[in-house]
Amino acid sequence: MRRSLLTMLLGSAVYGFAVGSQHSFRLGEWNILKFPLLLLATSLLCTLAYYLLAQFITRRLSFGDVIRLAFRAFADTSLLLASLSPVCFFLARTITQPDGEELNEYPMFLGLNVLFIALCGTTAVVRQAGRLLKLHKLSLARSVMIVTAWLGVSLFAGGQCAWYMRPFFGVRSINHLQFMEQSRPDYRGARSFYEAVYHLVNPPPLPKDYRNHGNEH
Amino acid sequence: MSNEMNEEVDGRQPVRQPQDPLAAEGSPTEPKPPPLPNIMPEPFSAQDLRRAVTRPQLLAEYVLGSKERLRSTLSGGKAIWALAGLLMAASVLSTIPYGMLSPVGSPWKVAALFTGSLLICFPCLYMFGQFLGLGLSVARSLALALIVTSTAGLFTFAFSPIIWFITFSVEAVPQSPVSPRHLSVFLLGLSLLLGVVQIDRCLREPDALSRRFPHVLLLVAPWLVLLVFITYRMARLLGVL
Repeated sequence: MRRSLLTMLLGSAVYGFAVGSQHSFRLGEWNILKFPLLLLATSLLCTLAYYLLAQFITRRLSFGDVIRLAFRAFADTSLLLASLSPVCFFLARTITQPDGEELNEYPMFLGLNVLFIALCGTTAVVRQAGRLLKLHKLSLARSVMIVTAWLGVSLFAGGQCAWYMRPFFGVRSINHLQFMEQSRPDYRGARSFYEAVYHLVNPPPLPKDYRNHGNEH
Repeated sequence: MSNEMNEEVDGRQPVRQPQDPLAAEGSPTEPKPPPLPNIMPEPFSAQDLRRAVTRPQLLAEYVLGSKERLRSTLSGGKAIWALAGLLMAASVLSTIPYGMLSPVGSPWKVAALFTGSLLICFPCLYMFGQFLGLGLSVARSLALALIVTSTAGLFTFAFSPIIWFITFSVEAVPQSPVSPRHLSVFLLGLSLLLGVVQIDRCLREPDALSRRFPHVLLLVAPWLVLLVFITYRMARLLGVL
């Protein structure tokens, strides 16, 4: 358990620094704190839900088992992300940064990181299902149900945590970044992760001054 | 008895039931495979239920993880009033943190929403059961119905840290399409849905409960529709929606 926690904190700090350095080393340093905090907060907020969902699906997992499994999944994700950190760092420092006219290769960097996080998360979840199958002798269907339920809860709570703690990377021309944007609206006016997802599905018109967002401090 | 059920039975001594005489009938020329042993989990005793009062963490195990023992207690257990009392306590007390930490803003409103709606709908469950000859006593009907609210209540308890964080971190703007209040309604709806799934799981397994009360699902299914409708009306009345 202690080892999982340490792996989670270290791995996510390394990855956080790598992606943050795309904007500046200062953001990278902030990410050394923010990424581990993000995973820790998400796991703490979701612990009760993880346990009750596990009880709902099978009673073979004790509270201790659930905590251990949840922290292991986060530790696995962090470790996998840390292994991609050299790639991220290389890309962060070499992409064509956005300028006054174009975003250039910044969207590719964002997209790649979303892909990396999804890939690492999925790999950790598949490994978790394997653990449930082998160590706890659960059926495949139950293992998949448990990890899917845990993933859903983690996304629901973790998405808002990430929103609250943003930015983790950003456009270099925006100089005055805050440590955490908290509930400050984004360029489309979304004040939460859920509203941002809603705006993806049903995009509102962009405000006239959206280009200035982030530079008004 | 399904294998899944046997797999989930905890370490307690199983109670063997007499085999169904109908199972032995059939053509003498066609040898039938031997019937599976009919193992039924032990019902909750009053002592088990008292233990959950002193150790509330057992509540989750009893309500969510022991559907076989719940079924067994509902079909023939002696501590049925104690079970109903425990489920009622779980239904009411477990919703208090959610009520306090969410935009609902009142410790009793979620209990009034779930348990209040159930108490409004309960008399018709019991009376229709009597008219249809199901033979469910008041205590058994109440304990059966309370499975929905106790499961929903426990899940609201599990979601209370999440809704606290959402309320803390999302600025409530009246024109926002996704406000903390909307998310709270979503989590309350999800909890109620899981309660409905739990009662369905308790009634669907072919075991002693379905043998003793064979048509109970036919009564409970429309009653659940009524319960959900009344809960919706109650939510509007309490200002939760």
